[in-house]
Amino acid sequence: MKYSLPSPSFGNILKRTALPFLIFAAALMGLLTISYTLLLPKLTQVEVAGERRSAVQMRSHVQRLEASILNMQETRDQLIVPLQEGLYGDAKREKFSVPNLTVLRSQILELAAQIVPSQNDAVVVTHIRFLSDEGVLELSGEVRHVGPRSMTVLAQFVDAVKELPRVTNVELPSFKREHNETVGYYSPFTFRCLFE
Amino acid sequence: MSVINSCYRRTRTGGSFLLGFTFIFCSAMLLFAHASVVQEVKSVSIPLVARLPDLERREQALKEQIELSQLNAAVQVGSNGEKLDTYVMPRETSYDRIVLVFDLLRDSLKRQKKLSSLSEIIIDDPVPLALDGVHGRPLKTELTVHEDGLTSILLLARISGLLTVGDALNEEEIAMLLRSTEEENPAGITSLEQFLSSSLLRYSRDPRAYQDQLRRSFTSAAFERVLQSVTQTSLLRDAQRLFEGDFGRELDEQGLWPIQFMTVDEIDVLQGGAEGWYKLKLRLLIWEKE
Repeated sequence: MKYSLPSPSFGNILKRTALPFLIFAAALMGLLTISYTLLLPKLTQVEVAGERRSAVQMRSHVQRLEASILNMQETRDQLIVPLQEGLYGDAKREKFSVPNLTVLRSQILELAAQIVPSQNDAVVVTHIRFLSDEGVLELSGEVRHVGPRSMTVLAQFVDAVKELPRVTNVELPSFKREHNETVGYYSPFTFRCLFE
Repeated sequence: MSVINSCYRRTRTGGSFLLGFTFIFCSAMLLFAHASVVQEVKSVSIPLVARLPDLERREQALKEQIELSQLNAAVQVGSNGEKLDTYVMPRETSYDRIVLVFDLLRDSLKRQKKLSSLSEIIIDDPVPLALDGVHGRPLKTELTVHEDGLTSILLLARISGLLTVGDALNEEEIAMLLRSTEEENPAGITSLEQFLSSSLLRYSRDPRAYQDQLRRSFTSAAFERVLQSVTQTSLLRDAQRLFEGDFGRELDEQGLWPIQFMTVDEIDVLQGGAEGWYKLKLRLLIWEKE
């Protein structure tokens, strides 16, 4: 004898699963709430110097520590080099903001000597004038012993000076080529470099 | 009646599902919150914990250094502050001291055959400067000097007004030294403090003695490297070059240290007749307090 159960309707399935589903969801949420409020803080807090701290507390602790270090560093620096502040400190900063002329001059003379590799006297700087309040260095001299290329070499020299550290601009010289019996072709120059 | 029952059952089933889905949604949010906390621990707490020992060690070292430095500071500031007001940036320039400094440098360079002439020294009325509270008294002179003499004159202008070893170092160089003391021996800060507050002139005349004194507190190769880098690349090296000879000795003997604060206002270097010689027109500003 065969028995066949009537196939349950969708409504019946829903009716029978509604309560278990509700209980499951409530239990899941309850467990997760307990885990989040009680278990997770215990597992994720870090113990530092006898105190337990969460990530947020740790971040603010480190920020406080860094601020305190900066503060103490300033205090320590003022004690170690006490005259860095005030009028004297400002005066020193003003003095050292001007380029070191010894270094600057040797850099320029070195450039002049190296601009034509085979001939270190091609660019002769005869006059250097430095005006501190205008932040200007004025260079005068001649390019010689390079034949008709003297104007090209002068342009190369000006470009090289422009690349020096702290030079912000170069007021271009007038490029001209002259000739005399003794040195042949030569290009006299005078130009100004501006400093930051 | 059966219609009412059927409606009630449907509402109960619907309500259960609705509430169930709400709980599921809340659970999903809670799961997401769990993941965020774990992620935060991984990305924030762990790196911070790794940094903490270093930060706490620095804090401790700085505390110790401040306590030690406070003991010496009052005495040092008092004595150097007095020198600043009297010699470095006085209200009235002491002309004899300034002229004597140039005289001594001229004699020293002449003995070394690095200078052939120094013209009269003209000191003018004060002019305003960019900084408030000070003005500059122009000093003009003309010299015929050799390359090395020219360097000495320019160095004198750059170094004038500096009082101590610390004054000749920039902030970065001082920070390098301080950081090294924190890392090696925080208590050695007093030695560094003494080193930095040493007279620049005395140091320049015998740098090894001052450096050796500092080395007694710091023995590591790392500190030695920092010290060498700072002393060999800074203005200390230039000061040593300027003062190591008889010019420095005479300045010391005649009590002309510290030199009044001066800056270069205008300088004119013209190639001279002989190779390596120059005609130098110099206009300096001697700083005075208003």
